[in-house]
Amino acid sequence: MKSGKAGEGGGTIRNLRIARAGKKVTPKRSKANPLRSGLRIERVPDPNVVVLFGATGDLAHRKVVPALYHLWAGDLLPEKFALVCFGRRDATDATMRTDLRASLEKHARVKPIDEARWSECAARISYVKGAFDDPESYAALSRHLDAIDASVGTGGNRLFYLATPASSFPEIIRGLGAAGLDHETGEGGWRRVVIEKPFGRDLDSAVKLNREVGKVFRESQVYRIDHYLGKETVRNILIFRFGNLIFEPIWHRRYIDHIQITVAESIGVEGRGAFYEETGALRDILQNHLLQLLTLVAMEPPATLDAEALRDEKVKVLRAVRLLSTDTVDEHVVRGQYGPGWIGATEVAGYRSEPEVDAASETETFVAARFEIDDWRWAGVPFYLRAGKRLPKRATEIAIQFKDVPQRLFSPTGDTPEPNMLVIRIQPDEGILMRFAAKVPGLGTDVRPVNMDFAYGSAFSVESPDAYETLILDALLGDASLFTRADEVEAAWRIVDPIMESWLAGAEPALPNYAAGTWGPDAADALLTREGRRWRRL
Amino acid sequence: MNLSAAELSTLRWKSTAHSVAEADALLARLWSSTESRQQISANTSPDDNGATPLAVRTGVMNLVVVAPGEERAVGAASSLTSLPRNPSRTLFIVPRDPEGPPTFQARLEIFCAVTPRGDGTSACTELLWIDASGEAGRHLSSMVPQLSLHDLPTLLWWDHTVDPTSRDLKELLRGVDRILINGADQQGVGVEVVRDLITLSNASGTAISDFSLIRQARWRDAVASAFDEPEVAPYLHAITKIRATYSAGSSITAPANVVKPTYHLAWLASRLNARVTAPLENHAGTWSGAIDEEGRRIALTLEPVLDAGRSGTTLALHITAERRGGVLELSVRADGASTHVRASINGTPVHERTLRAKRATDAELLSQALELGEVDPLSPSILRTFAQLVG
Ligand SMILES: NC(=O)c1ccc[n+]([C@@H]2O[C@H](COP(=O)([O-])OP(=O)(O)OC[C@H]3O[C@@H](n4cnc5c(N)ncnc54)[C@H](OP(=O)(O)O)[C@@H]3O)[C@@H](O)[C@H]2O)c1
Repeated sequence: MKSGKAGEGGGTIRNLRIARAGKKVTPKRSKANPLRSGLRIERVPDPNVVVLFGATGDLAHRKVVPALYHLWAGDLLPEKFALVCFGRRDATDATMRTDLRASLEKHARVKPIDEARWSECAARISYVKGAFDDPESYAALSRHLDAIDASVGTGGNRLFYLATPASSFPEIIRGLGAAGLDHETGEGGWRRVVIEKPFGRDLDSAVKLNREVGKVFRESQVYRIDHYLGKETVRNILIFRFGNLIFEPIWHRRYIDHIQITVAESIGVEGRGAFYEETGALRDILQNHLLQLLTLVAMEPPATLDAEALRDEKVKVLRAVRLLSTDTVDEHVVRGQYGPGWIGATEVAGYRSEPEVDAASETETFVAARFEIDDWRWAGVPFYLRAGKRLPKRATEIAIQFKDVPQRLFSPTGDTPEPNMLVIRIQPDEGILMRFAAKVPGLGTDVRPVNMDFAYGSAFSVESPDAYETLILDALLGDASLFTRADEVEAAWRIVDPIMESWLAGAEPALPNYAAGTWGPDAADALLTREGRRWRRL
Repeated sequence: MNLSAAELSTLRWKSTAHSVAEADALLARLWSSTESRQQISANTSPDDNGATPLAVRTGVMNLVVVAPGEERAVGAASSLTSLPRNPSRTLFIVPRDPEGPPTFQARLEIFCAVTPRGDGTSACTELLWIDASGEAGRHLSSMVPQLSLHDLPTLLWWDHTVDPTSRDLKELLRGVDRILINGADQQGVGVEVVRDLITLSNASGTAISDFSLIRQARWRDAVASAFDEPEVAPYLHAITKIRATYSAGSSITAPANVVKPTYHLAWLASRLNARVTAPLENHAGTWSGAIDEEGRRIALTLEPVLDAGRSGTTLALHITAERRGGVLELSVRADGASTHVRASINGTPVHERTLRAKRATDAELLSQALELGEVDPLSPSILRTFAQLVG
């Protein structure tokens, strides 16, 4: 059977996006290489230096350096590349390389480590000792970078990666600015800065941080990394929605009853108690991951696929989310904290008994919320979001529940066909499931829901790169579509701020209120049941 | 569904058929009843609710393998086990005894594996081993459409020498979405056969994948990477000569198949948007021709070298470019594990890089070809230029 025509021009959304981004005029972007069209890699970054602040930290060792190694090993970095580690410890190029090599052993995605590749990579790593508050350290860094430009030919292209505590961001950014390291001159190549989550603790601090960053770097030079956006499936949501004609017409309040977004983890705080005490599920997951997923599901089709158009649409959604007032928060948001319980046949401790956690902690390890989006497409469609730790299993998914058929033809008495549901599974078993009604073979009109199920895992066996690889590569290529823009961060905090305020002002919560290994507090179920709905069983 | 080699060996059902209609009917009946589908998955135990899980056929594609002998067909079958997705139905056809009486014999097998989903569902793939003798073997186009599953793409892997004048092949192409060949295995210099197949498949709208072309991906990556370099990049649109050396085997007298080195030229010409002004001509194994990029002539040469390697293999690719008094010399070589690129300007080395790129295995090539699906960003334009270069 003929099933279609062979065509030319790799028309994936990503290719189109990259091709478009390539056409924009930004300083010193290299011309597209026509020999690359149609090849495995359509563009490679310009020669460049990555300057890593916080190179001795957990993130650098676990994610950033392994990602750079994999990019190097996959020939995705230019030959003229260098990694400069900046830190306050006494280290040398050699000790830094040894330390990073040791971590790679633990954290590399592909093992064994390719020694030849690693030694090429290691030869490009150097260490600069300095303090974040010392102008002379930045001057020394600047001289070191100039020397690399001269000897390696990196053309002044620099990516400053801030893998340090967020409290150091303003200081480092000021330091870079004072030393003129932010300047993109005609000859000087590009300068970009990567900032790690969290982008503030509330709206106020986010605005302040954005202002500090904005004093030195233009917004187009800033790449706020939320590793969640680098995940394949999140990007697939865009392709799924805007690369298929059949879903968009029904992606609408007329046909959709409600939407559920779940980020469930079975793990606890895993030794990061101190960090989690200050964060909680609302800041850690809802403010960024859950709201990101909500924007991707709810956004209007962007006019083009470039970073600005895409992010404009996302911001519009966040601005249209109806803000809760301190007195409506309790009605729409449920928080929880896990007590002791059982997960996977193992007994686990409650949150308050975890190391570094206050025995009377009020930090939430679970949050569920009901939001509405006030625009023409979504008016009246509730979005239920939930995230929690120590839930029965790890699962991230978006479920779109369609409305009932207008008239129940088949069994007016009992069984009615369940309404259609579309589930976009993000982890662990990435895929898409569509539930619809079908007749059971036989004489009667027995109707059963059946699933049409597509699992990426079995259809595409290509090993997915780690999110950090995707994102670092995008930053080096100057493609900001998967990074969070300043106004996006602020719009998300604007949604979350009233919730935090209400919790601060309210009475002491009765915590813990769910046992580890259960699906959260009863109140989270009530959020839906009182409206005649229920959470999807995962 | 990914049935790994070990899992694929779970044979769940087999039978034989003596006609196309019988084979078709046996398989259709099998999938049409719940009872027989439970039988196929009989190896899996009932789930918690006591229901016996069903077996489902993968919904991927039809694969038709035409091989010159049993051994090649078995070899092809073994590459299938490492595919990321398993075809729904694979026909292995071995035409034999062309002068004998027309006979059709098929061995039908269904292999299944339990999916990782956890509900006990089995995903299955059907293998049909077909012996077609006499006239039957020359009328494959009379059996393939009937034995292909409806509404799935059909890929024809012609693991055999191609005869572009064959009426049967012409007819067969009208019913398949893509034909997979190996240009380097064709007789003589090979390029005319490939050119004629290109013409034939253009007429039927069938896509062509050539293992020889897919295999060269690492060469293309290497050449492209050199032109990413700021010093080298300006020379891309100033190329004056492209020369490929190829192995002539141990003697120059027998003509070598030059499909592979010709693909390099076709790729570069198509990416540069160059026009073929002089098709390649053969003088004792040295082929020369020319293309034109916006008024600049680029001389093309294929040069034989006595070599112990397999005849027809590309040994090196040399590109010369001249601009503003600078002369760029770029050369690319490959070995089993990597490709090497070296560039110099006016004799001064400016770039040298080894890219890790293993020579692809047959199974990898097959999986790449199968995964191309409906969109192949490269082949159509390369094949078009190839046909023009051959003249
Ligand atoms: N770890 C993760 O999984 C993860 C995930 C997402 C986002 N993040 C974010 O990434 C950032 C880094 O996290 P992390 O877990 O890697 O933190 P970490 O392990 O505490 O590492 C912090 C790094 O910053 C350096 N540093 C801190 N204060 C300094 C100062 N005053 N002067 C010089 N160097 C200083 C530390 O150097 P010393 O070694 O000398 O102390 C260390 O290299 C944070 O913003 C975090 O929120 C982390």
